Order: sequence, then C-alpha cells, then structure tokens
Amino acid sequence: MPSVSTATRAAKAADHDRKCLLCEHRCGVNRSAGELGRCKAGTEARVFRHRVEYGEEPQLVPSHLVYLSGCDLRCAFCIAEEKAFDPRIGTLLDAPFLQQAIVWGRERGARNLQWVGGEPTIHIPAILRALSGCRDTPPIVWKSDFHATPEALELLRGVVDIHVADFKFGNDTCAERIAGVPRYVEIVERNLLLARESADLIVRHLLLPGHFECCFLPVARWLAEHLPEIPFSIRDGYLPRWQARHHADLADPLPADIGPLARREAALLGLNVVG
Amino acid sequence: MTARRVSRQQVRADDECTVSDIRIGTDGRVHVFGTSREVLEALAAIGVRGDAVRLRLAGASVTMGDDHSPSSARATRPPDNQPS
Repeated sequence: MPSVSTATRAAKAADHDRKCLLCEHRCGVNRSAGELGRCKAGTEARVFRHRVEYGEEPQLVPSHLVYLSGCDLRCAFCIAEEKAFDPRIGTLLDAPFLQQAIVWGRERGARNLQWVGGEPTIHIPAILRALSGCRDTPPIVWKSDFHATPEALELLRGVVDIHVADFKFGNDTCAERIAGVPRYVEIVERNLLLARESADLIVRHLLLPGHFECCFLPVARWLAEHLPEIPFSIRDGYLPRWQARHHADLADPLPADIGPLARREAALLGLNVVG
Repeated sequence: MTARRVSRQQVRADDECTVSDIRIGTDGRVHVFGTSREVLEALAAIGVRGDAVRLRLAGASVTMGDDHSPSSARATRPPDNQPS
C-alpha cells in the first residue's frame, strides 16, 4: 500500500504546481495555469526511457532507471541532449504506468527504482502523485543535479532512500559558463548536507577535460572536509556531446590518465571512492 | 520573469529502452551508456581491462535470480505505453 507520507507529500508538493519553487531558479510560476519557468515543465511529467541498467555505482545495480524529460540546468555536455531539455517528450507518468513499470523492473532483478532526467526535481509533484498510487514500491534512488531548493528536498524526506548527487563544478565561474547557473557551489554544498540528514548519499563527479584543478580538486577537498565517509563516485567516461563543441575545453574526450590520477588524489584525501 | 503559455503539442521520443550506446575511442577506451547485463557480460568475455565490469557483474550476481537469464531479459521490452 502507498505510504501515508508519500500521499501527504504529494498533496503538499501540489503547492509548487501553483507557485513553483522546486529549484533554485525560484521562478514562482503557476504551472497549473500554463505558465512556464526556466525548465519549461508543466504539471505533467513524461518518461522518455526506462530500463534496468548496470552502469551505476556497484551498490545500486541492477537499478531500474526512469528517465524524465525536462531539466532546470543546461549543461553544455549533457549526454541526454534535447531529451533532457524538452519536457514534452515521452510517455505520461501516472500511477498505472508506474505500477506496471515497477513490476517489470522487479521481475528483471532491479534492486531499486531510480529517478533520473533531465532532472527529477522539477517533477516532484507528478512523481509523488504517481508513487502514492502504487503498491510495493522498491527503494527509491534520486539522481539529481542538486540544484533543488530546501523546500523541494523536504518533500523527499522519508520518500527517497538514496540520493545520488551530481557535484559537477568546483567553482561558480565554470558553472555559470558551462551550465548557465549562478551560485552553484553554495547551493550544491548546502543540499548535500541537507540530504544526508534524511537518506543515504552518493556523490558523483564527472571529470571534465581541463577541469581537474578548477573543478575536481575543489569538489574532492570540500568532500574531504565535510563528508569524507560518503561514497564518492568518480566518473571518467566524458565524451563531448550536445553543445560541448562550442566550448574549447570540452571539445575532446577526457585524457586517459585523468581518471586514475583523480582516484589517487581522492584516496590521498581520505575519500571513500567507489565505482 | 516572463511566463509563457504551455504548448499543447506532444512530442514522442524514439524508443531507446532496449538500446545501449557503445562508443570506442581511438585510444581503445570503451564508453557505454545504458549498460545492460548482457553488455557487461560481453565486455567481460572480451577481456576489458579495469574493475568496472567485474564489480558490477559481481553485484548483479548477488541479486539476480535464475529467471533473469540474459536471453529472457533480451527478449522482453519494458512497458512503453500507458496501460488502458
């Protein structure tokens, strides 16, 4: 049966359909009335792909990933490209669809249900509505850019079992230039500390070419100081996608020696490197 | 900020639920997006270096039952339409 907390949270989350403060753009638009904020999402969420995957962190696989279209950021290197940014793409998410998908995933050995995007935060009301109408939901993994507001994270408390946070940039200059987002570092750092109060947490960092000193090291050093025990997943599979060709520093694949170098550095800092 | 009206147009994506995207760099590194168990097993069979494949297959073997054979997983598509 659906948990009381999920149904309660779904009702509370509906406030954001009328004045959306789910992400730190804080557009405040009335999505129920058809207004669009930065992410261009309405009140419906759409699934553009879902499947059981094995490429996640070892402690998560097999994981049933549900990809929702629409995102609050515009990272130039996004591998989902246009699907991430157009919230009109995909099949409508509702309880009957999700229930069927949960059964399908469980039959194929999925240990959990992982919400990804795009960015699931912008669809919290629709996700909670769908979840509250489902039975026997698996553990919930929330893979996010962590550009959420504290109000949004509060809606997930008791609903999400594991947060997987993308800590993409180690400074605001890179974040502004590559993803078009201000105040990035303080927002993500605040949210990491909030999220770990209510759920398990994995921090993920995609190594970007030419961003070892400016992004990887500041991220690793902050984690070493504040969250050293948290699993830290260093991803070294960067390939130039979407708009990356417009950024000279992002136009080439990551050099092969950077991944091992980053893992050695993280280990020296005492971080719990996984994946 | 300026609000705009929602477009009624609905756009349907191509179905990618059963596709893994594999790219092999000129330096020989293999990049996989949307990794299935079968893809992991194929990579293990050809002897891909590193721990990434081994760790994930090890994790999967703990939780996968007998009914999750590669053939059955390959043969069945995930539900992609809203049930009636």
